[in-house]
Amino acid sequence: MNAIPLSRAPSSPPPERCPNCGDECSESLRTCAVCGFDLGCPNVRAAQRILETEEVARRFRVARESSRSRGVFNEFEALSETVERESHVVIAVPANAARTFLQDPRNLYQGYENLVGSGIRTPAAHESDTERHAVSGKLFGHYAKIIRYGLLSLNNRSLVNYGSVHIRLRDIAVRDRVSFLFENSYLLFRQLGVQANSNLPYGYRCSWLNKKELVATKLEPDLMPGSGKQEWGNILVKNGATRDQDYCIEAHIYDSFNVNAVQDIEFNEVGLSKADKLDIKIIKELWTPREASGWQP
Amino acid sequence: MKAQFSSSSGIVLLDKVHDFHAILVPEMSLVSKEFATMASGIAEDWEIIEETDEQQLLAIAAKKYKCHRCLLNIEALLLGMPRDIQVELLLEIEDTLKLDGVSDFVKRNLMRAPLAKNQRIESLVYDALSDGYAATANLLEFVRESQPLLQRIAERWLMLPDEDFRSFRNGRTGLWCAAAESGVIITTVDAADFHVVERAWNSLALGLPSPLERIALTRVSKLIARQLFPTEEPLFKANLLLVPEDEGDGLPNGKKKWSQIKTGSPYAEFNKALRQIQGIVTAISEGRDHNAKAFIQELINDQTSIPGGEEHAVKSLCNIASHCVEMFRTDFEFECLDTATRLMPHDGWTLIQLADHMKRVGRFDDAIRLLSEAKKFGEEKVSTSSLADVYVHMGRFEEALEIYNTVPDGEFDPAVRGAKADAIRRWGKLDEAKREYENLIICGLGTDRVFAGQAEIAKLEGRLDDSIFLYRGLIKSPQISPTTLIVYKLALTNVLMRSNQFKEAYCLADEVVQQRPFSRQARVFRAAIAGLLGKPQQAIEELRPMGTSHAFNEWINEYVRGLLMLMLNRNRDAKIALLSAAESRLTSDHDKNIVRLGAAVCFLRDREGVSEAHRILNQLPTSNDLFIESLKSIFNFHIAISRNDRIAQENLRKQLNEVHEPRLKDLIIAIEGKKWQDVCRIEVEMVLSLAA
Repeated sequence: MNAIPLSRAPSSPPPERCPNCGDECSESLRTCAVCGFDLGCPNVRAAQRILETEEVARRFRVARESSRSRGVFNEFEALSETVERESHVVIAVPANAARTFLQDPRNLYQGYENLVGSGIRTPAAHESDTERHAVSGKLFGHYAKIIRYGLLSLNNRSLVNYGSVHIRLRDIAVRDRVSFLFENSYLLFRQLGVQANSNLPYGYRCSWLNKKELVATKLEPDLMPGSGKQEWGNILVKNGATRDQDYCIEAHIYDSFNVNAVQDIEFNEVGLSKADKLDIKIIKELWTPREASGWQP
Repeated sequence: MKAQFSSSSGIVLLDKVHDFHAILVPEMSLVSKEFATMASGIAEDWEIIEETDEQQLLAIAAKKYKCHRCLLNIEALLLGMPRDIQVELLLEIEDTLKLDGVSDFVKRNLMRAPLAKNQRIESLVYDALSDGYAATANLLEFVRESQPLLQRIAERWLMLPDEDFRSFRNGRTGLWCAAAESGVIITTVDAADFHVVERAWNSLALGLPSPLERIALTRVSKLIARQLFPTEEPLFKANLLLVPEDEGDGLPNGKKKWSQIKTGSPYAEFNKALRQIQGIVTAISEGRDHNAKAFIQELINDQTSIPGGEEHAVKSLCNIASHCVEMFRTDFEFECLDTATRLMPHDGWTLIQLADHMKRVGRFDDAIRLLSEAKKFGEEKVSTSSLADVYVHMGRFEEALEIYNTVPDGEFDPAVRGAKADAIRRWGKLDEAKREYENLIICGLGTDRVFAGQAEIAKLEGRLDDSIFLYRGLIKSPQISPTTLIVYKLALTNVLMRSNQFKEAYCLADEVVQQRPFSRQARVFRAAIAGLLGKPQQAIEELRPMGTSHAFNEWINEYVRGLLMLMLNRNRDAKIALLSAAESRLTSDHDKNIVRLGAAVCFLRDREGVSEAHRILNQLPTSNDLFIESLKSIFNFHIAISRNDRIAQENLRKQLNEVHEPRLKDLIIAIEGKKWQDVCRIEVEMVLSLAA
């Protein structure tokens, strides 16, 4: 893996203002505390700040020039186009968790939503999770516990070390609430040496709108002449021997999603336990009829 | 040790103060934080687990995970799986159901909502039975049987108005989920009457932190109970219909209790009798004596109309009589038992129960005669033991002990030996009783009764912490029968009152009232504690005057009423109630001390009453209850100060130096300082805390 190039240090961004009432609003809140206007997901707003997008664009331009000088300009352009059109968010989970998620109780019980509601408990705050807070707290502040993690993929695949079931989410279900990070957040913060009292430098995160710039910037040093989508998919989500050697573009989804957000499911069926195998059989059984019935995202 | 756990993902995040460890429970393996972060995003069921050590915590997490997985597997079966998967699922389910608590968890959660398609379940039951998975078949059968009733509960639940759920933080669905998780839905499905449903839903109050939610819950509980049992007095009226008649046949076997019973099957008759008894007891408790008598007659007519039905009628009457004892309605108790003995004059148990009634109302000769008769009908052991108990009540302890010695095989019977030790304790020979209790423990005859006896001695000797410790241990013991448990809870309440732990005492008394709504004693206790917590007006509203019922222990009602009225400065009414309690001839020496202290407090309120109070105190027998003896000395000190009798004051001061109980010391200081308002208040509180 290439060393992460240096970027501009962050300066204090100007205070955010509500486009509806004009009052100053919190970066951590989804709605304006004054007028209740929906400001959009805070992680996406953070990724779309001018200073952030400008730095991502600047690094993209540098990478493009680099690809020209290395003779992989056409591949660079094609990669950007492919990411723009075909990249998607995938989450990897253990088989039992995937089965709980996909085995929708609404299909079994009558009036389930009227009686049980969403059927979920309020997630407990990860208050003791200090390292995670140190990392995700810097990225998301107070709303860290609302964020769900996935990654950007070109081939429906996630990292095999993260779970045997890879769930591709529908673009429509995530595009307005997802932001991306240049690398796995733990790894990135370690590599950049981000300290407790400092913030993440600009240029390492993006939204759905400029994801191609972040991806192309990251993959450019690994682009080979004549490479295509399959190779790019493999270097975008790179399985290492251990989790420390896994590389990806991390996706941060604001708030939860349900089974209707799922577009496709892939499985990694190597080295599974008996229970995992049973879980996967059941998931396949539950999932297939939905595709066969012509259900489309 | 604290951790966060998600049953669906099987991940535990162990709190390590400055770090956390992520553990994947199915494999019990440590996983990286990156993995935990990624995998945990999909889980929405995080909960906090706290345990003393990591091993225990992980064991709990593993159990929860297995419960969750078993439920998931059964739901997969119900959704419909191909035969090969079904076989694998059945195997895993059957294995998991063998673990303690899994079956209950799964049952509760399968009752979250009615099943959308019920047809598959029958073939599943058949498959499970054919393949030898009995536990799974049993569980599925339960779910299948419950569906029609669950369907109706759900329908009626959704019919309740939205505004009744506005106070709940988690709304209507949150309350329903809590009910499902705690098993309230199952209780509701099984409920035979309005009160069972209401009580079950009210039990959810323990999990609601806000008083507003608790108040709202009371209303919702009533509403849902009323929806299911629409009449005000549902237990003995025929129109219990939850299910319209034309739908009745759709109900599975064993679940027809909500439909009108038309058959004459033994099961139906049994259910009907239970409802009639409940109806009679309710009528008596509400003072509708005329109705109660009519219902009793109806019950007897119904039961004696079938061959051999006299036996059932007698059992029903004895059952009602037991409830009457709880309600302090000895008049009705007698009517029931008298009728029962007329129906079956040679039933030994009924005679013993009637003798017990005679003993409690002070008709000792009749009690002895009836027990002699009962002996003839084959109940020798119990009759002899009961006879000894009559002598204990008469205060003739030596004779009582001699009779206990004649009980066949009594020497080896823990109940008889325990009763003997209790008799010695009540005689006042505490050291001898202690030795006897210890002997019983050494001989392996240490039943709960022995520990209760030791707790009582500790109370009398002022070792309140020891007494509380023993009673707390007893009420946690799973071996204690429900009836005995009530006795111990009330005994613990009394000790807690003495040690000024009023809030806990109130909760405990209230718990007993919920469990035994007809228990007058529990209500009296609760009212006394409410008075001590500064709510005498609220407390007194619950206590009706006693009327015509008189028996041992029943003095407590008038005693507490009188003292509550003293708190409210209704001195005239208070005096009537307290003197009526004090004049009861149905009191033991120990109780005499208490009721007369109550009367003395009443007279000490004004200067003119001091002489009368002095006369009452002089008549009191000596007690081995340290608290009572201390109070007597303090009241005498009050009199000595009022009379300016310096010699008596000096003599009493020496005795009072031995008093260490903080509130008694406060009282002494108030008397010394002649702060009469404080003195009156504390004196009433002190005697009220003796209520037992």
